[in-house]
Amino acid sequence: MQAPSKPILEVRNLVKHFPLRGTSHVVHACEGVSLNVLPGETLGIVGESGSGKTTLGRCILRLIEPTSGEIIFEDVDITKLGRRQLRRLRSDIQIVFQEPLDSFNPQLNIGYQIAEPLLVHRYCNKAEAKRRVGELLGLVGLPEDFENAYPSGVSGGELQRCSIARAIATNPKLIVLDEPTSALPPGTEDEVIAVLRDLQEKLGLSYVFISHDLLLVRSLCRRIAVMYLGQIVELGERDTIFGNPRHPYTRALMASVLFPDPTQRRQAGQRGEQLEGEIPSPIDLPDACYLAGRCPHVRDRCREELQELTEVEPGHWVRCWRSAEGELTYHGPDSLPMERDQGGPS
Amino acid sequence: MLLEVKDLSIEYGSVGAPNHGVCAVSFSISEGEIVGIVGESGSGKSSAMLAVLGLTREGGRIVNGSVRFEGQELLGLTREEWRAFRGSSIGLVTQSPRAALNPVRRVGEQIAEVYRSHRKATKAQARERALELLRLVGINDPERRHDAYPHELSGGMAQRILIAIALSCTPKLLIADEPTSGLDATVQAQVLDDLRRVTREVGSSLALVTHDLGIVANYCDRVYVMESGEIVEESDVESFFARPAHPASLALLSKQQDSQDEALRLRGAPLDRIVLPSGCFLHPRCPFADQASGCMTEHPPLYDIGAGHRSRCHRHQTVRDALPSRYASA
Repeated sequence: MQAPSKPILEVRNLVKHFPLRGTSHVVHACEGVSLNVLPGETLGIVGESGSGKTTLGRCILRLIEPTSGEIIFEDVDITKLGRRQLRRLRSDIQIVFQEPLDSFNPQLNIGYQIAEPLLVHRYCNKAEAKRRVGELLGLVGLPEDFENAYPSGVSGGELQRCSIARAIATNPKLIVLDEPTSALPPGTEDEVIAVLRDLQEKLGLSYVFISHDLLLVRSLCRRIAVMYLGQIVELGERDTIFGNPRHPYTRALMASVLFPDPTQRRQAGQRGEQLEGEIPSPIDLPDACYLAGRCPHVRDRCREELQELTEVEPGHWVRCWRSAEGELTYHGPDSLPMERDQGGPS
Repeated sequence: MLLEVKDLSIEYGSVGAPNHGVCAVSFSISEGEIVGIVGESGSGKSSAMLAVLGLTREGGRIVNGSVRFEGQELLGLTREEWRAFRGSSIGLVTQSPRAALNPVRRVGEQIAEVYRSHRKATKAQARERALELLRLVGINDPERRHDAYPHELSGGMAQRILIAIALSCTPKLLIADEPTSGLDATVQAQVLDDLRRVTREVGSSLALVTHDLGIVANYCDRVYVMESGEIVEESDVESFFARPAHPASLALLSKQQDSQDEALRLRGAPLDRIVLPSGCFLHPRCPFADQASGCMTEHPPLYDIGAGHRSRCHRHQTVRDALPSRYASA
């Protein structure tokens, strides 16, 4: 299924620690994340709040400096770039943030703000930039006269489309989408997603799509990485992650999806997949499986050693020794509420 | 019937040109039932449910209608009567639990306070009751959590405290207004599981106000769909999800499906309801609106389409058939 093309982005062993001021403690926001993104694909990053997915997205653009690790974009390790080279890189990698109102200056009109990256990157002169703004607005399905509007004068969905227009202004190859629809008023999510799909098709963009909305990720992404406490715990094709998840955390996450279909009702504590409690604080994590304290399948060994991300079948990686060694019995896709299924083995 | 609401209307803003928040809404909840009230934001679902407790948002007035609880008319109760009624016969669980809890008082005391204000109980008895409730809503180590302050609790735990407060006097009906918005997926499911379990255990009915049809499909017995201040569809959950019969329901559903189907969506955002459109209130936004069917001229009644499934749409037949088979589970 996976085309043997060369990845456009490779993240290797990315670590980001935030020191807690005045103490020797650190917050483990990213703890050895490795992944790659192929040209033209959408890689989904899912996880609960506090799992480090936003930090990862920002590190990819070096909006946050990683503590260690490599980020290789088109054969160049961008963690080693100087300021001027980094600036050139920024026209190739762009980001769309969660809250469009926070990412626009309220006192400047939208057209100016979409043109700004063009001028900063010396992409074209002012007259051409004006023409290009109209073109960009057209690409995200907005009329040209939007350039004269101000951020407060348009709806949340429209403004988010403007920030997408701004992100694609310099013809980037990769866009990090950090929860691009979570802060929008209900009902406008669809229009933004439709624009993203359309642009990917037209421009061949690669996306890193960060979201906590599993149903949305399922509809948009080809491969999915599941994060928990700064680590990727499972990575694979969409249908594998949804149909045959093998990490206990992914399985709990999948069992918590509420499908709008009463024939796929979730059973309380579905087949022993439920986790204890909630995501713990990411400060000073132990040299053990981070999920050990909450996992229904925990063994002594889980508390004694760090878990490695292991390839259990081609393209499917799991950070759980019990799963990798085939110790956890799984019942295939039917044990999760993907298909109509009430009973099933427990 | 535990709760019967008839022709409830709520207006906001000026008396001369009011915004019609809720327009002649009727619904009922029987004992032991879990009922979903769904709609997009601004559809009037929270307004209608808060009115059952005699509450309106700022600037709101209940202008018409009747709310009967166990046969007793509630609209027209005095302040004192409402005070005795709220929290003892009907409990309320709101969203954003941290905002609803008092940040400077221990959560156990906040549970006990409600209990003591409605029941004759000593402090020791109220404390016992609080601990019992903490256990009931699935909080580990209740003795320790009893003495915690809200900021020491996670979002899921804080929401459980609100549920414990709402249940303290064993109300017959619990109203939960978006009880899990803002919680993470795994926590949301756990809280809803616990909410369903405890309402069953104490024998209460539950009204779940939400915009998420996934919650309705998983936890409810019946559903009311609200749009433009009206109930536009009502049904048992199985029949509803098998073949929804109102454009507003399709729009909510297509939002949550793997769907790029433009034809099923409503256009734009909800309109303010100062001047109500002629005909069907939804027609300016509706992809099914049609001159010949009277959508622009005649206000649709709630058509009965069999077995308690009703839809306020002239074109309910077309709408029912519009749903691609991949959505339909029947």
